[in-house]
Amino acid sequence: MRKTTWVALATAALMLLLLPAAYALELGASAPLADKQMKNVDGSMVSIASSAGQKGTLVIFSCNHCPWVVAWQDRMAEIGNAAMKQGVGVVMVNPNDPEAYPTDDFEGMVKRAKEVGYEFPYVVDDDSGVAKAFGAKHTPEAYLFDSEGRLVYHGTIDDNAQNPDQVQKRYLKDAIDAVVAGNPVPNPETKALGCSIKFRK
Amino acid sequence: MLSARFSLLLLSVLLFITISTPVRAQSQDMARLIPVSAPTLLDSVRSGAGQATLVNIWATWCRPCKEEMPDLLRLEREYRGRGFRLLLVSADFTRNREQAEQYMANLGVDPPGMIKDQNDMEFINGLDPAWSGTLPFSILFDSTGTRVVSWEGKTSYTSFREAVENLLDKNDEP
Repeated sequence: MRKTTWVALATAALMLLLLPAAYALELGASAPLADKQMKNVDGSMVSIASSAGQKGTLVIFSCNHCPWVVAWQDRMAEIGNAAMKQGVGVVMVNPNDPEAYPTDDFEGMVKRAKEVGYEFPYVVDDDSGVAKAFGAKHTPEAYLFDSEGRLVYHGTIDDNAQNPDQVQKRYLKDAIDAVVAGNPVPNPETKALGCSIKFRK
Repeated sequence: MLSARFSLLLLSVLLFITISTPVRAQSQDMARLIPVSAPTLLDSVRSGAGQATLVNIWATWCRPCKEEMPDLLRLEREYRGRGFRLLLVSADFTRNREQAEQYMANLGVDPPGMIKDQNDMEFINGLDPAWSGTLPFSILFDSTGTRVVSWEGKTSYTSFREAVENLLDKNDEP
């Protein structure tokens, strides 16, 4: 094969390797790796597909150690538990490598789910593959799919991690209420600071 | 008489010890982080007359931020003579400000820099709409305050240095 062809192939291969770093799931897309079985804190195996609700599905990438998660976890429990009653399936996914933060291990997840009162699955993304497929970058990071399985919201929980009593925009709660009512989501893409996902090697 | 003199001497010694003992309150000893929003931070970049200004967003709870911090401080030492400025901005919760100030004091960074005092999304998009919000985050600005390059996540000394060198070399061109 000619040298230029090898160079072109090598460049294409390099671009493919770099692609996951730049990839972000777009609005309208369906959940990637939806059938991947992940271990829940109660020992059962759960997938995004098996967690789906009639009105929609909420996937939140989260962990135990991150101060932004800790600041929001009571609100995530409240919103997630309420969403399930509204017909939206919920699954919280921990993609972190516990070698980076030991408190992010399975025992830590079991303990945290109980302490905070998560009534939805809190599962292990055991090779961080689901997070990579989503293009998720930090915790917490929420993805809400409608009843047709299309992404309609991507982003954060609300506009004030530090002070729950000073929240002005309840981005995720409002998105869930909109999806349940069959209305457009008011702020479909939002941002907040958070801890980078510690991808497993 | 001797007793009065001795008492006076003892009182003087006690007074001297009291005055010379350092006050332990952290807030009196440590320089304070300056609260900033994205607009005020960008104003600092533009008004600072740096030939190259690197803004780094970090937090005490962010391990990759702390891992790259020595490299950033090294960069500042090596290039300050050529007009390089480093602006460190803590993204710690403002209620944890003292913790951030202590971390900077331990590193010998004085003044310690700034602390984010704005809603997350406004701060993120105000600095760089391409930033996802992940820490650490660094942006290199040229002498006009225009963004040249940004890095999301922990970055190597080599990457920082190459970008700063390129910018400073460009500024030095006749």
